[in-house]
Amino acid sequence: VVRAEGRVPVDAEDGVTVAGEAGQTVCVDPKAPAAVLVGYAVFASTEDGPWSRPANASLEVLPGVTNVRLTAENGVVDGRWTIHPEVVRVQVHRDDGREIPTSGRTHFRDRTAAEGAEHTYTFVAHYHRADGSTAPSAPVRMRTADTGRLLPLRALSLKAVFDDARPKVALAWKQQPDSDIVIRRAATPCPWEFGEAVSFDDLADYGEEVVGDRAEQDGWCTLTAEVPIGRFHYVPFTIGPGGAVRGHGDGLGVVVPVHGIRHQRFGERLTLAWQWPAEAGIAQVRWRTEHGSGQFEITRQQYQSGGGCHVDVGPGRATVRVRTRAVTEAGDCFSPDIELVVPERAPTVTYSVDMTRRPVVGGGTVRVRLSADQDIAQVVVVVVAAQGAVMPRRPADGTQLLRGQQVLGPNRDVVLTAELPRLRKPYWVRCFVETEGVRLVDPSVSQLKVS
Amino acid sequence: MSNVSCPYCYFRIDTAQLWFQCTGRATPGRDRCKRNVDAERQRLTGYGPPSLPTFPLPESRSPLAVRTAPCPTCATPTGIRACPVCRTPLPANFADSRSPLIGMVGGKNAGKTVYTTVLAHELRHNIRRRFAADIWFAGDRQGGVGSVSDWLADYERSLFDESSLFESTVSTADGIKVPLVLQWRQPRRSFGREVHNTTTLSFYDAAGEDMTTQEFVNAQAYLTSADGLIVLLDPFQLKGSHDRIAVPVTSTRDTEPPINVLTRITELLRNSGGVKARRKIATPIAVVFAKFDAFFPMLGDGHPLLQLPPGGPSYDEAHGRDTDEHLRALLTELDADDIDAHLRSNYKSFRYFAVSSLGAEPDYDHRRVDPRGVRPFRVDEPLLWLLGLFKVIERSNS
Repeated sequence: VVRAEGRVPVDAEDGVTVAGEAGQTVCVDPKAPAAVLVGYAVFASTEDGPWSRPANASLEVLPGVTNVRLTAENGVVDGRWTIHPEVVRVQVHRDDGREIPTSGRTHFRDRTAAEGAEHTYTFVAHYHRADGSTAPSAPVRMRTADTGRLLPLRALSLKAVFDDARPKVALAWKQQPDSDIVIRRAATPCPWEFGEAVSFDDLADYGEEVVGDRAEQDGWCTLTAEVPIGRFHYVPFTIGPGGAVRGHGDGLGVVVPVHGIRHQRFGERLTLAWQWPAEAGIAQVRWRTEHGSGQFEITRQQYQSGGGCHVDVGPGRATVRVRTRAVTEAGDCFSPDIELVVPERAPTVTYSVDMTRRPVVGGGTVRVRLSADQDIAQVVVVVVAAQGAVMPRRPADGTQLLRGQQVLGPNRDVVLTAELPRLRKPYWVRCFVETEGVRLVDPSVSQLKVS
Repeated sequence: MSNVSCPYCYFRIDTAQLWFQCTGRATPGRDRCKRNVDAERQRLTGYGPPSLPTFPLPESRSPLAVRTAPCPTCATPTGIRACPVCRTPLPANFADSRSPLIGMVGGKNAGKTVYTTVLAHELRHNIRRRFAADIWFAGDRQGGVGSVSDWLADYERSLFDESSLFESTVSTADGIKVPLVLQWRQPRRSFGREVHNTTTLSFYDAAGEDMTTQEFVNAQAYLTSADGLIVLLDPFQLKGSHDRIAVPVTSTRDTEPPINVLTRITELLRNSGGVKARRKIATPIAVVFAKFDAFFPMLGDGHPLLQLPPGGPSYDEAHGRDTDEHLRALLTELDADDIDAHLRSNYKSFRYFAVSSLGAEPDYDHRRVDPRGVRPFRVDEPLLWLLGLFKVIERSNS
């Protein structure tokens, strides 16, 4: 979900990303600017796929006052409320049409109200637009008798947190002064409608209360709690003296991801290793290279008996994503992806050696065919012959037969020919490259050694 | 008739003259046989618990092999075969199968027990699948405390489930220790028919301390009977390693150069086998560079030693030769070519191997395996090379 001011975002990068979680159908934008035309665009994609065309909407956000509390005592009605930070003034009218002066933007004291009578007050918040005009919010009405009525929580934000490899969830909601919010977690959907009153006995039968650390900041309350892995429904309830009112909740699957992922190349094969979280038994591995992609699942048992996770990705750069999967009553759920980028292998030169030996007199001809897996502008190649049981490890270990700069590429093999001197068996012919960053891979020893 | 080594006492035995062991079942009118401590068995193998009686092959003029015999005490027919020397019951089909004895030797801290444990794990999982073979551990000292299945299961659980290293193998003062005996049963095509060949393999994991003096080495009876040896070298003890790879501090204490261990083994094999000075020892020897993961960063991606051999139900001879030559070069590079010179001078058949049992350096101070788990690297190749030589598996050339 992407937000832009004054227009609708045209692509996923065109604005501020408000939310980006898979499987969610509700998101809260706590930082929407007021008195400005705001455009929202919702993009969807498959795994690693391109974004869809957006579904979009525009609106001018003009939040009304919230959390109005009225207290009537001795013929004086005292009113307090909460406002959006960009509100410039609040107009309050009593039901008889009289405008009640406010003190500041969040308080009034009405000394003219009839004692014992019930009154309705209307609150309108005013904003300044960029063009200098004033924009009023929708009116909010509150009766003195409404004071104490439980208000359902309208939005609850859910986010999985993995600080210390323990599954946690961070639940955030807009604070409602003088009201107590309790979140309950359950494997089954909530049986009550939004705003429905629930008795304490019924409430106790639905899931269990989420207990954790609460923090308050900028009018938002965040509850961070350890939760079991799996998919659960998180439902907020506003608690009153005689019962609770159901608010708007959501479902969230929490699975701890793998961590400490590492790789080691063994030829074309990549061996991946990671630390499994205690609760996970299945990991889904998805990989992508220039030439292809694939995905598979591996269980902890398969990982253990196979000595890690093996993927044939070839020599190029590869992106690997690993996520754990948990099977729960409410369906499968996945951890966040852990991504690993495996850099491509250095440009690699391979070669083959073909020796034609002269019988009796010794010596002969050696032909070396060089190939490269990518274009290499200049590579210095040295062909060396050496006597002895041990293969030459560097050019100085033998007699240099040939040395030259070559231009190599995938379809640009080079054949070098050199005179092979008379040597006592066993002897070797081996190539070396003297160019930084280029790797040379030897052919089978049967081509290099004469014994 | 064939002479093989008993996997428990290491004496050469004639498979046509194997003894029988009573099943311990009762027969009508007679009491069942009781278990008693077999003094001879205890003396030769260290096995102390009471066991059922054994008896020699009854005399027979039949040219056919005798597969069952009645117990002379209780008359219960039995087909359980036992070593005529140490009286230890032998795995089923031992008489009909090839039974090479493979010794596992190496200096202290070379990682032999970790290697044996990981190799056993690989045999049970990946090698079994690769060769479509049925592999199981047998000859278990008839269970009980200290049995192979006990210590192997403990070690496997420790390494693979709990990610912890175990303590050094304790030296056996009298040279007696339980070997790991396994049976490898694999289908083969013979004259268009599928037949199953069974091979009994016996591994002996000696404590590194047992290799520290010639006297200790001489006490290792299995060495003289071994049909093949796997010698583990600790690369951290090679002269040039300290300049090229990160050597753990713990590996620099209480150790000695690998050439010393090799020399002692050579001495023993020469003396016990009566090998003439001009001749070489015939026992094939797989020389294994253990803890090879320490060399991964030095060698870099794409080095021939980091190329995995092709799969399939055979040992790849060409790949094995490549590895052998590259390791010979590495030995020279590490200023440890005295090992190669020694092997070349004394052994007819030897080959170098690069393995890593754990795949990553453990935390030696806290005795913990890498938390990402055990990731064996080419641990099967020394055994497969020996099995190829013994013609248990096929050899191929890629």
